[in-house]
Amino acid sequence: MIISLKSALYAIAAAMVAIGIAGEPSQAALQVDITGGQVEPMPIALPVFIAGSEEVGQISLDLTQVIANNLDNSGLFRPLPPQSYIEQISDFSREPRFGDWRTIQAQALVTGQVVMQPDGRLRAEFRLWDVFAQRQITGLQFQATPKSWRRIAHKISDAIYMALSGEGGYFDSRIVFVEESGPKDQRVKRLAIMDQDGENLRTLTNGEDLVITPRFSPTTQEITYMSFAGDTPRVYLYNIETRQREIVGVFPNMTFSPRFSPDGQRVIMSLQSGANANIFALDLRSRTTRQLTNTTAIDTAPSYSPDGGHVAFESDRGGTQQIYVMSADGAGQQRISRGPGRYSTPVWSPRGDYIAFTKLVNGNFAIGVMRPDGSGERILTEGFHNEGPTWAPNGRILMFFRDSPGESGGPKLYSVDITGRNERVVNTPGFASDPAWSPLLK
Amino acid sequence: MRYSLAISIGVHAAILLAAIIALPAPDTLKVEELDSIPVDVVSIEELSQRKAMVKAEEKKPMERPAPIKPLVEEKKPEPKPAEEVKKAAVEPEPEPEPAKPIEKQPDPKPLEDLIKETEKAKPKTEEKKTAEAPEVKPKLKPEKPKKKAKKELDIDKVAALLNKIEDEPASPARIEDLAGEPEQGDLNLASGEDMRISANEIDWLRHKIRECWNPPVGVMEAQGLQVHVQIELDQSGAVLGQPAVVNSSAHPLFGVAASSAVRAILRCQPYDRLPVEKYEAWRSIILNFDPVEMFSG
Repeated sequence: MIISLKSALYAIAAAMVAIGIAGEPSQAALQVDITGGQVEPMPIALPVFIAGSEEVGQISLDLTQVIANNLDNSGLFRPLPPQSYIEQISDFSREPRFGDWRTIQAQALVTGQVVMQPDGRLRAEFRLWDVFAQRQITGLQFQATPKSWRRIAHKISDAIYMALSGEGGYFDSRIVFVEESGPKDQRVKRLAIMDQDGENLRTLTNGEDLVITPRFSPTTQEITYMSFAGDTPRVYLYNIETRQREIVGVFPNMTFSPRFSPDGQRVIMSLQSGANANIFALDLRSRTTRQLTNTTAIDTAPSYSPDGGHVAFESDRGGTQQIYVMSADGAGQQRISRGPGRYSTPVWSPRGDYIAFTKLVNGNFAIGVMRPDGSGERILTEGFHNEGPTWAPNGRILMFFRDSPGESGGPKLYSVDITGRNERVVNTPGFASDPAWSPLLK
Repeated sequence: MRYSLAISIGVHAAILLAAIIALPAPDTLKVEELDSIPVDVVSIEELSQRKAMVKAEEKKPMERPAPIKPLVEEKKPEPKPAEEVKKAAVEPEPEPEPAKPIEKQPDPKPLEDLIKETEKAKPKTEEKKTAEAPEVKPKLKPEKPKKKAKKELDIDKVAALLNKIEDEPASPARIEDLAGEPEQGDLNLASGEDMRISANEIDWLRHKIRECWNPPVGVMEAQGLQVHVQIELDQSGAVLGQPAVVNSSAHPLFGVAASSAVRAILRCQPYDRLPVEKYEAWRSIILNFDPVEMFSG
């Protein structure tokens, strides 16, 4: 009995050794670490959307172009020239010949079509393809009145952007700003609004009164701005759709245009008394104001965090202008900016992860970001009189204005990615300043 | 008290003694003469990949079972015609040797599935089979009797497959090996030194993939986000089947990071500077993508 057990054990051991030596390597496959890559815009192919009928031929062309421009301007994509395309897309429901698109180095492909429905509405649909994995990534359909074809193009752009980058889009949004014209010492300032790509520009005021610092309401299609009829600053609420404006109040001592709270219920502003200025919150329904800071310094330029729980603002209580953060009720006021120089115009990102600011050091203006605790400060761009950053709805892009020196110089709007890349000028017909970026349109 | 303890010990001892004496001795374990069976640690993804290879064309990937989950749900019913178009396109294509994946699965359960798989592949392979019959003798013979029967698990079939495995020497056949008999000698290297791929060669591979990897911008800023992708290569360095993502993460950018990694791998193939004579060392690779160097804070 014992002997048979032993020989059994030997036999097992022998078999295991045999398998061990002669067996295929059962250790894990070769492991290779890839710890970096290239920063490059993704080559993407966008053949013109198929037109369902002749009457939508021009819209199909324009719509495709708007999408291509959006993706190109974001800096993350490189639309390939249509003359290089090998396959001609003629049937929206068929799978493309992926080999043809691989040949021209496209990594993603968008096919689409535009149809005028019998009920008079425009329908646009698209499919986004992964050329190398040879599969569809996403496909969506939009319907709207034909006049709103640009909004459809922007919504399609947002869907493509989100599917390929993982980040929320920002293309279906608008910019309100101050249009400036006339000689430098006698500028006429008008309120204007446009799509984020610079199209659809519309002037909202007639230039009689000086207007400054327009801001979007987060919840409705309204803008606030300050207007000076004579010397008295008035705060107006302007409805973009109805084009009606109402006066929010006359604030003889207002130093800085109000901003909305994220829930749209309050506006926060800075009011001057004597040589100092303090921050106040006005409840839009009850019309009661609450004082949040009470110092002998100049506290101004307040900006809510996206959850409405905190406020970032600018204060010179420490001797020079710096950035402070406090709770929405005024408690816990703390300085967060650390470097040398003067910090102003803090704006909290819609994602809550950064605060953008203007910084002046050694006579140089710069736009930068820092985390809400003051760490991770990074300068994105420097230039002559850069100022007034505003965030895109996805928290990845900042728009600001930059002046140019000299008699014939004037401010223009610029945008830059939060990584500091892809700085571009926004094409407005004339000079422009004080931009404010709307949330994503619904 | 003491009595009960004594009784307990007594009874226990009695039972033990009875067991030792009365129970039959265990049979000598019969160990059959086995040729070494290649043991592969296979994850679920790989299993599904191997099934995919049954339907796929020889080297270029065609039909996708897509182990990577789609990023955004398709809201259109119309993609279905596209899928059908895709399937129709695959069917007339010549089928590769379906015996290939079967050899790698000694476990009984996957064997059953593979038998079923082989059955499914049958209608597509008939033309090719007759053409290849003269060339590929030892592998095709056991399959001919299987042609008729459908999807039933037969002991005979299992035995047939096992026999096939036993017939084969240790190195599993690949398409490239059809011309000659795989040599048993390869896998009997005692030391395994000669099979190890050099650091230079790994560096070349790493550099090549880095050149093709464009991580999405948010991924570059995400700390701790890793994507592990397993690939199978043929001897020319081309990717077989679809790269398989073998980890997962709750990070919101994991999906796009994974897509970008897979795209990088497919873009940069074939990895033809890997040494063919060390093929065993690099034919299965796990690439760990982690953009630590790109993190800008």
